[in-house]
Amino acid sequence: MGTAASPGIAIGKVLILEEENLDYQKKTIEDVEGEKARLHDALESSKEQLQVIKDKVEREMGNDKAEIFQAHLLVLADPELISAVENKIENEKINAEAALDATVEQFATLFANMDNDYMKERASDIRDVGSRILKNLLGIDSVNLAALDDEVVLIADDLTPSDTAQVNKDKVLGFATKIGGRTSHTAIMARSLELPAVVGVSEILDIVENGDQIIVDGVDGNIIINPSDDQLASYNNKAKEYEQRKARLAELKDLAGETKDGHRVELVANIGTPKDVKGALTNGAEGIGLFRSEFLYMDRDSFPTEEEQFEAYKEVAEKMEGPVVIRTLDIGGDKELSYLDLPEEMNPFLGYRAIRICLDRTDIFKTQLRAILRASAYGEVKIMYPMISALEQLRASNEILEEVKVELKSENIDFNENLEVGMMIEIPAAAMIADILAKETDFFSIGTNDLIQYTTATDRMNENISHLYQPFHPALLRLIKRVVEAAHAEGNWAGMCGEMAGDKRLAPYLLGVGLDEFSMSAVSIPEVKDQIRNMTLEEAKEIAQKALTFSTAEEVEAFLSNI
Amino acid sequence: MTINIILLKFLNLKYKLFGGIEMVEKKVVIKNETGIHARPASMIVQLANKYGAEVTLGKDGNEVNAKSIMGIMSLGVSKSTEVTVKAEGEDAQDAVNALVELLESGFGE
Repeated sequence: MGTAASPGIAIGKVLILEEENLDYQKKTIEDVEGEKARLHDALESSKEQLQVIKDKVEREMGNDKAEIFQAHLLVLADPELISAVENKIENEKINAEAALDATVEQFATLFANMDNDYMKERASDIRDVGSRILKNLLGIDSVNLAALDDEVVLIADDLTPSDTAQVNKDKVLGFATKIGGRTSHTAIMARSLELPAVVGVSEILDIVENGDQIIVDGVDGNIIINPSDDQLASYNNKAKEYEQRKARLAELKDLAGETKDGHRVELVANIGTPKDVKGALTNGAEGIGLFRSEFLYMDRDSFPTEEEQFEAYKEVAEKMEGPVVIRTLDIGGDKELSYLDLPEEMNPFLGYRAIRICLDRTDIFKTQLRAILRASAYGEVKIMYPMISALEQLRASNEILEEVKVELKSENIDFNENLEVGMMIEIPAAAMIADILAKETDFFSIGTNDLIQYTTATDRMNENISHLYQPFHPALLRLIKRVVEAAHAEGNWAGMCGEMAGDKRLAPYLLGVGLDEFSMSAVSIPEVKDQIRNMTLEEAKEIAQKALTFSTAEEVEAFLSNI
Repeated sequence: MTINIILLKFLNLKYKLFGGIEMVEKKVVIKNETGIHARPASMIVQLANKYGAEVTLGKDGNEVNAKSIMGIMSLGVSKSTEVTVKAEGEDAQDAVNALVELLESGFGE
C-alpha cells in the first residue's frame, strides 16, 4: 500500500490536512462599522492562533525558530495594513474578505517585486498571514496542529516542516501521506518524533474521510481504514508486540555494539539539533556520527553568529560524552537559505553547494570552523567536510582550517589541537580515489544517500524513477568495500552516516567488509545493535563475500533479507 | 533684536508650558550584514510601540511608520544604508534615543 517510513502501530481517528478552499464572493455592503468589526474579530482570532503556535515552537524548538511567528504577529497588528483594509471597506463599500484580499495582495506584490531575495520571500509570509485572516473571516476552521482536542492520525498530501514543527505528540498518533519515500522529510521527521508513519500511499486522500478509524502500520507499510473487529484485535496485538520488542531493545541500550566473537564497532547517531541528543542517548548511541550543521542556518533570516554556533556545538559535545562528528555547512541543492544569494541552477545537486560554497565564501567557512574548534575544548569533537570531489578541495579546506587554528592560538583561545579531521565520501570520484584521499585525512564517513544518487544517476525525490535508487546495488557494495579498505590501509577508521547504516539487513555486509562506525537515526540503533550482537565477525565476512557475487540489487536484497 | 529675543524666549516658554510638540530627528548608518530583516524589523516595531510619539524611519526621502512592520520591511534597508529616525510628540526625544541606540547596536547580531 505504501512505504513503511517510521516503525510502530497507530490506531486512531483520521484528520485530513486539506489544502483549504478560500473562495469568497466580493460583495457590496452598507454596514461599514459592522464589516470593520468582522475584520477585527478575525484579526483577534488569528492573533490567538498564532500566539499558540509561537509559544509551542518557542518551547519545543527554540527562540530562533519562533521568530518568524513573532513577525507574523506584528503583521497582524500592523497599523498600515489595518488602516488600508478599513479604508477600502469604507471607501469602496466592499466586504472585509474582498478588502483584505486586495490589500494583502498589494503588500505581497510590493515585496515580491523587490530585488532582494530575502524580501521576495516575505511575500509568501504576508500571504500566509493573509490566508489565516481570511480563513477566520470565512469561518473555516484552520486545523491548528498545536492545539488539537482529540487524538488523531494525520493524513495529508505531504507534511511541511512547519506542519511537523507544530505536532503535539500527545494528540498526534501517526501519519500517512500521499507522496514521499523513506528518506523524505515526513519520514525523517516521523522517525525523530518516534511516531508511526506510512508514506507514498498514492490513493490515500481518495479513500479516507475525516473521522474514519484508521490503522497505520509503520512496521510493514500497511493502511487499514475502518477496520473490522478482527482486524482491530489483530493489530492491537501487533502493537503490543511491537512495544514489547521496543522495550527489549531499550534494554540493549547500555550494551556494546559487539559481535559474539568480540569484534567491536561504534554505534552512533545522526542528529540535526542539540535537542536530538536526548533521543540519541535513550537509544544507546555512544556518540554522534553526523551532526548536520545546516539546521543552524535554516528557517531564519540571517547567518548564525560564531557564538550561536559555538553554543550549539558545545552543548552537544558536553551532553554526549563520546565522539561528536560535526559536518561543515552542506547546503544548496534541495536546501536553500533566504539570506544567501545562491545562483539559480539547472542542476543544483551537481552545482554550487556544500564545501564548494565554503571554499568560495571563506568568511562563512572560517566562522563555522572557529566555532567548531572552540567547542573541541569541551568534548571529543571531530570535523568532517561534505561533498569533497577531489584532493585539491581537501587540501584547500585543511589549509583554511590551519589558518583558523593559528588565529585562535594567537587569540589564546582553547581548542583541541589534535582533533580528528575527516571527510564524507559521497561522490563517486572520491570513492575511486579513496586511497589517495586517505593519506591526507583522519577518517572517512560514507554518505550513502547522495552516493547512491550520484552513482546510479537517480534523483530519490523523483517518483518516476525512484525505484532505481537502490542501496543494494552491487556498485554500492563494491564502492563501500573499496573505501573501507583504503581507509584501513592508512590506519584510518571508516564509518557510514547515510541511511544504509541504519538498515539492519545491511549490517552483516558492512561488518563483514570492516566498517568501524555505524551512524544512523537514533531510533534505528537498537535493531542494528541486536543484529550485530547476534552474529560473529566470521559469519559477517562470509556473508559479505557471498553478497558480492550477485549481479543485481534484487538478488543482493533477497539474499541479505533472508539471513 | 531685543524684541526677537523676548519673542524667542516667549516661544520657548510656551513650548515648555505645553509640554513641547517636539520634532526630533537623527541619522544612523546600519551596520549589520543583512540589514533590516524580520528580526531587527520586529525589534524596531516593538520598541517604537512603547512610545506615544509618532515615529518614522526614512531612507532616501521615503518615510515609513516605524510602528508598522510591513512599512519597515518595505523600506528595504541593507548594510551601510543611512536611515533617518524621526519622532514627533511628547516623548519624541526618548523614542529617537532608544531607536538610535537599537540601530547602532547592530541588533545584537
